[in-house]
Formats: sequence, C-alpha cells, structure tokens
Amino acid sequence: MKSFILFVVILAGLLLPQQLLLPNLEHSLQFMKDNLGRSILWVSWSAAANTISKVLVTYLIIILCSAVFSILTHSLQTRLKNIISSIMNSFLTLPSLLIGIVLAAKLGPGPRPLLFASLLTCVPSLWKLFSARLASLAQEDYFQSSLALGSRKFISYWKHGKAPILDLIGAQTPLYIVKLTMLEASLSFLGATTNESESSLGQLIFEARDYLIEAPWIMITSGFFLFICLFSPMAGKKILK
Amino acid sequence: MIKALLQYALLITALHLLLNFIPGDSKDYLEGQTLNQQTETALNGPSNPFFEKSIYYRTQNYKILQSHIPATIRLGLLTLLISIFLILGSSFLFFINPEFQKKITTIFTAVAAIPLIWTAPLSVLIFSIAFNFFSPSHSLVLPAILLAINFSAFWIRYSAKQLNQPLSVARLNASLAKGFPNFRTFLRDFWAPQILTFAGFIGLQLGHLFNGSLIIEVLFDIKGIGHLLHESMLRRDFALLESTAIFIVTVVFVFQMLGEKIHQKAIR
Repeated sequence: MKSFILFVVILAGLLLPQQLLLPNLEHSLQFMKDNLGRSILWVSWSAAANTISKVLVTYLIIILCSAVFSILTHSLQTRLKNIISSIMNSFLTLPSLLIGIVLAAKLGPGPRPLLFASLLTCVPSLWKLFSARLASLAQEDYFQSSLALGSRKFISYWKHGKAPILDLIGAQTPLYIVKLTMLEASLSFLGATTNESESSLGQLIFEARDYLIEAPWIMITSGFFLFICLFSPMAGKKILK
Repeated sequence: MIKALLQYALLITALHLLLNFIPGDSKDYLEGQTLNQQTETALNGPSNPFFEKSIYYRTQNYKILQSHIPATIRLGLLTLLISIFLILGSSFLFFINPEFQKKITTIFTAVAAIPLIWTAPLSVLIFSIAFNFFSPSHSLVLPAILLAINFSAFWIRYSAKQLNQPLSVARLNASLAKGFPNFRTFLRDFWAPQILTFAGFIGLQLGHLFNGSLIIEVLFDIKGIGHLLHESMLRRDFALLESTAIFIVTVVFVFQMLGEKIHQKAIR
C-alpha cells in the first residue's frame, strides 16, 4: 500500500512544474545533498518522474503496436501467420540490453534506443500472448458465425478480440512496466538513454558510484526510488485485485 | 535444423540492418575529434566486422574478442557453480526442514527482484568497504555471487514447489522408509529426475544472464565481452560493436536452441 502511494506521489511529480534548485557548491556532499549541493530527495524524485514518464510512453506505444499487429497477422493466411510466428520466436532470443546498446551507439543517447529496443524485444512476447488469446477466440461459435455471415476476418477479430486483449493488457501491465523500468534504468546506467540535460534513476546511480565512500546517501536514496518504482506496479495490481 | 538456421540468419541480418541502415550519423557524436581516413571508413559501416581493425585498439576485432572471452567464461562458470551450490543447499534445507521454505524463497525472490545496478554498488559498500570481505577490483567472487542470486532465485522457488508435490512427497517418503540416508534420497530421488529440466533452464536463461553480466562487468571493471560491448558503444567503434553483438547473439541463440531441445526431452 505504502509503495503504491509513493508511486502515485512520483506520478504526481509529472504534473508539477519541475524546477531543480541551482547548484550550490557550499553545501556540496553535505548530508542528503548531492555533489552540486542539491537535495538528493528532490533530484531522485525528478529522475524517477523522468524515468516513469519515459516508461509509460514506451509501454503505450508497444501495447498499441502489439495489439494491432496481432489482430492484423491473425487476419492473414495460415502460412503467412506461421512465417511471422517464426520471426517473432527468433526475436524472443535477443537480449534487450544488447539491442538497446547497439541502437544507442547508432542513434545516440536519448529515449529512442529504449523505445526501439522495447519494440524489438517486448512486442514479440506480447504478440505471442495476444495470438494465443485470438487463436482460442477463433474456436468460439459466435466468431465462426460472424465469419459465416460474411464479416471480414480483420473486422471480426477487431470486434470480438478487443475485449479479451484488453483483459490481457490489464493483467500484463504491471509486469511489463517493471520490465521496461528495469530496462530504462539499466540503459541509462550504461549511458545509453539519457542526454546530459536529462536525469534518470540509472544515470543517478551511475554517478553516485563516484561518491560511494564520501556520500553513500546518494546511492541509497536514488536506488530506493528505483526500488519503489519497480515494486509499486505489482503492489498496485494487488490492491486493485 | 533448417528452421533454426533461418532464424539465426534473420537475427544476424536484423543486427546488421540496425547498425548500418537506421538513420543517425556516428560522426555527429565524435565532434571535436580528428577523424583519419581509416576511422571515417570504419564509421561509414563495417563490411566484415570480425576481420576489420578496431578504431581504438588498432587490431583485428576477432583478436580483441578472443582476449575478452576468458574473463566472461570465468565469471559465467563461477556464477554457475555458486548457483548450483545455492540451489542444492537451499533445496536440501527445504527437504530437511520445510519451515525454511517460505523464509528462504522470500529472501531470494526479494533480492533477485532488486535491480543489479543498485544491489551491486550497495554490496561493494557493505562487503568490500565496510567489512573488507572481498576486493572490489580483483575478486570475481562478489560479482559471481550477485549474478548467482539473480540466476538461482527462480530455481529455488521451483524446487520448493516441487518438494510439495504429492508425487515427490510419496517418492521421498518411500525412499526414507527404506532406510536410505537423507542426502542420498535427496540427490537420487529428488534431484536426479530434474537434471534435464535444470540443464534446459540454464540454456533458456542465458540471455537473461547476459543482461546481468553486462552490468556486473561494467560495474566491477571486468574485462569481458559485456565490458567490450559497452566500451565499443561509448567509442562508436561500429565494427567492434557489430562483431561483439554477433558473437553474443550466436552464443545466446545456440544455448537457447540446446536448452529448448533438452527441455522438450525432459517433458517427454
């Protein structure tokens, strides 16, 4: 419950005008201050809001792509569907971090490597889930009757498949949010998703390594915020249940 | 076999396309550096990444890869050894005293759920700096323990579940009733039938293990394949990046295929 409330608080940060205080080197590395003399709580909060906003936008895009793509592929002929299925299976073997790094090298640091890496690695797994649900839908009598009445395959899948897919999305959302947060944090930790002007929890943790002995609170606080971001979607799911 | 080869060819082509045909000019990120002819050619896209020379190391990429593989293998093997020890040890504890099941699985699940980018520096702070147990820069033990906890958490939960299965309980009780010692019963009647499933699981989880080892290698400055990949990304050394990525994808793909085959055999 507490972690869910904290998640909501972090989300609220997205709506607030974010303005970090100017660097004040007089207070540098004082207790709960970072190397630039700013409150580490506020810096972590801002970084967490940035991380979550990136993750949410990426998640919305991959969900939309996977749902539309699975409905589209199910409307195709079985042979084509099997080919797409093998392609998706082979993409499932790709480690997401590897793709993120390869893309970051080409595109430069920013949100694009996260987005494309998630598209390449999460869409296949979501496509498999949605496809399994659509395949069971195709066995239903009402679906067969709608086809027999002359309705197009794509229209029928769209009409009858939306509700079961939305159910699946509801069940999978916390899991994928956690997965994407982990990926974003790892990529920004490796310097692949953040510019110098932006902050992210992974980047904050990476920078905190340099002050591990003099100011361990930077590492502990930023990590704690990441921990909350990772645990709150699952806690939220339990509360909603 | 042909299907697997086609899938592999597709992955390698996808990687090549990602590095050579998506928009974005690497020269933009190397502003301020003087580019010589060789560097410019390398930045324009590698033709045969394994035999081209790295723009930083000035040697052929396959030689650089060869020099970085042993560190990753050492880390991987040590992780595997510690994982086996953790899994066997905890499941034996569950077997002797079922009260441990909930406590140990909760601890492992919680620790494995915390991202490595946080647990690794924290464990350096606690075990290397505060208690001086491990040297943070020379010892592979701490990185391997962190990876092993991440890797073995699932299997520890799985073995706890398996021990509570009615069939397992009946088989173990029958063996104990015959007067066989605890450890023999545990190994022969509980673990031996699951070895194939475990071997399959290792193959299937290799991609996940790679994600962890990349972070660990960067954090602990272990000169392995993950470290090389990260380094080549920061230096925009595309030929080296492509050859490292192809190598990793090949290893992960082969082990996943093997894992799948073993898993299918285990199910049968």
